[in-house]
Amino acid sequence: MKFGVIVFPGSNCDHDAYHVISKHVGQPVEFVWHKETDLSSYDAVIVPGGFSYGDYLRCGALAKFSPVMAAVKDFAAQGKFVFGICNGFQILCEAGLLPGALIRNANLHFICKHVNLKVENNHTPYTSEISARITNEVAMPHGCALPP
Amino acid sequence: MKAKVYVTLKPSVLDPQGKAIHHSVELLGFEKIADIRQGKYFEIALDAALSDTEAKETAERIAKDVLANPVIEDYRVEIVQ
Repeated sequence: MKFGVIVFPGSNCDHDAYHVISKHVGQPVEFVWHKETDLSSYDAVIVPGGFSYGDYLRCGALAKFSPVMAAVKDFAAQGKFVFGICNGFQILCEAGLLPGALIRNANLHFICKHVNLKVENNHTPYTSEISARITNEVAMPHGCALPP
Repeated sequence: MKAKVYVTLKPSVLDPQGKAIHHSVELLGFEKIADIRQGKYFEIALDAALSDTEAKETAERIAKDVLANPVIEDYRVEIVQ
């Protein structure tokens, strides 16, 4: 399965995503610059974390206008895999590929700490091999979140 | 010709920045301030050759497609010569 990791100006977790897919998942992976318009050689696309366009205007608001995003929308419409992490998730919300919008954290702090994750749904392609009871501790830095 | 665009959070959306500013304003001794909410202001310099209608329509589309997130924000456009 061939992965593409999109790189916007300001993305900084593109290398993390590349490393994980290459070394841990063990699948072919390439970086895809945000000006690319052809994703046909990929089976899955990752929209990585970071600060695309410096978080200017709103997190992910300007990245949605990058040339690659029209291709990402087509890619998703074809039923192929699109996975957004952190700022990548914010970009997918701004692009309308995911519902909702993000607002500032209530305490206005940028929160960076280790958290435990619980698998809410293991009937997705990304979580189907994880037992619903396992929790993983991960580092989660963020300044904007979905309102409750 | 200039378009002035005001983008504000919808009234139902929590505004922690506004609340923080309100708190600081109260610390300065201002009383009877019921609430403060923060928004954004943009100026778009438009070609003078555009008609008023074209200018308004262009600015409204820019406001709707780029400057505001319609899920959580409202916008208002003013055209000035």
